[in-house]
Amino acid sequence: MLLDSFNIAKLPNDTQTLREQVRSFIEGYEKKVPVIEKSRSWMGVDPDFSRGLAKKGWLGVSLPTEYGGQGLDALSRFVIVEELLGHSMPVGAHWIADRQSGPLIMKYGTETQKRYFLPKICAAEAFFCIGMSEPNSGSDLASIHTRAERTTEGWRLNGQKIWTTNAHGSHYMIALARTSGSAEDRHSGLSQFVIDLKSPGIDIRKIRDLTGDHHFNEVFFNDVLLDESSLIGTEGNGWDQVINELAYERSGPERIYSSIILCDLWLDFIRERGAPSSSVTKLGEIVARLVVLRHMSITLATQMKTGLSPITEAALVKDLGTELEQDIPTQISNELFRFPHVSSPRSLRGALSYISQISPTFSLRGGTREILRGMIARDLGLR
Amino acid sequence: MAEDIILESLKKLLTQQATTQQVNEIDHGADWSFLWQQIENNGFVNLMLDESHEGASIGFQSLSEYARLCGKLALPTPLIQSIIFKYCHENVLGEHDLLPITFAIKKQTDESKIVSAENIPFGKFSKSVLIYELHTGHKQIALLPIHAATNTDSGFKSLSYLDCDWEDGLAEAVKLDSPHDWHSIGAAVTASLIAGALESLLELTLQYAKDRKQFGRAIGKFQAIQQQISVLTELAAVAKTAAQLAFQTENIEQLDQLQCAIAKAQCSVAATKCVKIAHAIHGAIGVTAEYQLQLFTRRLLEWSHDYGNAEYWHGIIGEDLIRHNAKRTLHFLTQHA
Repeated sequence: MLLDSFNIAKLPNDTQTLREQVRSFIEGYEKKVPVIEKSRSWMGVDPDFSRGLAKKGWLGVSLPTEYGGQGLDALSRFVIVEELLGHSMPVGAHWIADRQSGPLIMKYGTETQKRYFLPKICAAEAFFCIGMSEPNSGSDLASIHTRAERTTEGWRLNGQKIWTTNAHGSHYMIALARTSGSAEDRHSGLSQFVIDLKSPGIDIRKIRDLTGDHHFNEVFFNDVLLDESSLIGTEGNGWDQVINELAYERSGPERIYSSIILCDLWLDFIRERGAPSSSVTKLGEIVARLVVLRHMSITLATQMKTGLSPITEAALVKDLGTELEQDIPTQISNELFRFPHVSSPRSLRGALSYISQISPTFSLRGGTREILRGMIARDLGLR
Repeated sequence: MAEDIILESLKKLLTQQATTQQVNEIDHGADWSFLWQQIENNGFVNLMLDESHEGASIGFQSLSEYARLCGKLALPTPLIQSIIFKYCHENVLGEHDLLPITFAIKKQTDESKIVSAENIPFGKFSKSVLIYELHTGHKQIALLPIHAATNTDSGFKSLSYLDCDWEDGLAEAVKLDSPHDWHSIGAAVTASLIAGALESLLELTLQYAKDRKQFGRAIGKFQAIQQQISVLTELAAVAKTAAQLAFQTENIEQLDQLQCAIAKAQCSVAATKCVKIAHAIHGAIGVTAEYQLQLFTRRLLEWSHDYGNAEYWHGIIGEDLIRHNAKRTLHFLTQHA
């Protein structure tokens, strides 16, 4: 039963020193980060900041030391990531590489791939993006059409990816492509490739989001030649690899803290100006939900540390977490604008508008709400 | 593990002596004293006492699981409350026949002699009530026998609550100073009861969705139903985590009010939402006396506001954060919660 997986776990006390080190580093840097950048949470990109973290040894921490990592466990990474996101720092440049590309290469890559990519990830010299969605394959990921065909020296890639976050700022993409059969074959015949985005035949076109920001892209592959070593893992095993990757993607603090800057700005405002009891209650509700979700997230990180892959549990936490992330701007707006004559700080109102507008993406990226609930239903034996 | 064996033996006793049919009968007025005697005779009220007091030295942290079990089986009597009270004030029990005991907030009245409490949780299935004052640091408590109260039943059969007035309350009471925060204890225990009841609610709803056929197939095959049961599962997981949070301290003396607040608030929210989902999926059968869903949904609705509802505790948590020296929300989460 799914509920059996949720037994509260605590962070070990020895992570406290690491937390303090990371916090003090952030406090030295964060004055340089404007509120609009903080409002973007992990969509904010600042390669200098990523390189600063790398110098401290805080990228790829869970990778073994022989590949440039620190050999720390999933809980240490949890603490670093929680500090970064909880202070709304711009982690977007290295985000995907640190969260999933590194662990994926570690798990499925060849020795040569590990030696080549992992030290670069840890040094903030290789930023990654994910090539999953396509114009006609969103939630139905298995229906992708991008195809890699064997050549004498490797593979020839043709097709198109879309909604690729930070493709324009990344060195590499890990893409899911069909290597045999057709879309009707669904989960079989898919493989993962690591693609150098400077390769000939790749065209990256920006897509502006509704706030005017450029974070995602369309990426076109036109006879892109990949050498033999571009294949990650086993040919035809791409689906299983992707599903595994999603456990890393779904259960972390990034599904809880995307709107945290609003809580901080609102808290400052309430402390300075006072607030009606309804606002105090709403603030308390947000905090209570954060605390419980944080503990659920720690519970899953603890399971991952012991080698488990809590895929459905991660989907469950993500659904709850993104709902909270979306409720935060709604609830703060409701409270703040109940009093149209009361002045409030421009930074708070600006962040509120931005996050309200962008927040529908919170429950789309990384698997939609309906897909996640479908996974839970399958686990319960309903599908 | 000795503790696991004890939990298993309680489970065995309760599944035999507090079947859904028996609980239903007790809810509708049958005598509960036999059930309570079985529990007492088997030593379960002594759980937290040490061996020299015929106890099992069960720690406060483990008690959460016992409380979830009681919620899961809709146990009518306040066993966990009695276990905690006996652990904290065993000396009083030597002289007075007070168990099972429940806790309730003293109502403010104009008449100083009268002691009153309303909506006493488990009131119909308790022998006495521990009355505490909400805003005086909880230090002095009064233990009052239910048989001495006047005006008790509300007339609504389906409630487990009693309202009680004790005309010459302080004269009838056993008064004592207690270092414990009974309001937070009540909240913590009730949070775990909710988490346990939600496990049963989920099991019942899931089974019903698999068994019940409409339009030629099990209703659980319809996506709309699946999504709702997934939400029910999510909320049950939230409640379980939240309930465990309240029992994180080694012993009851270190009980953390904020963690109890978070636990009770989040379990209360989950309870009311899940009751709606479970009833919606069950349709008409769910609101019959015969079918067991009501054993859980009626309790969940009561428990959701016993010892402070979600709004009450959210207000306290909000005030706590505003007063706290944490510069950031995150600092509050990592330091304090």
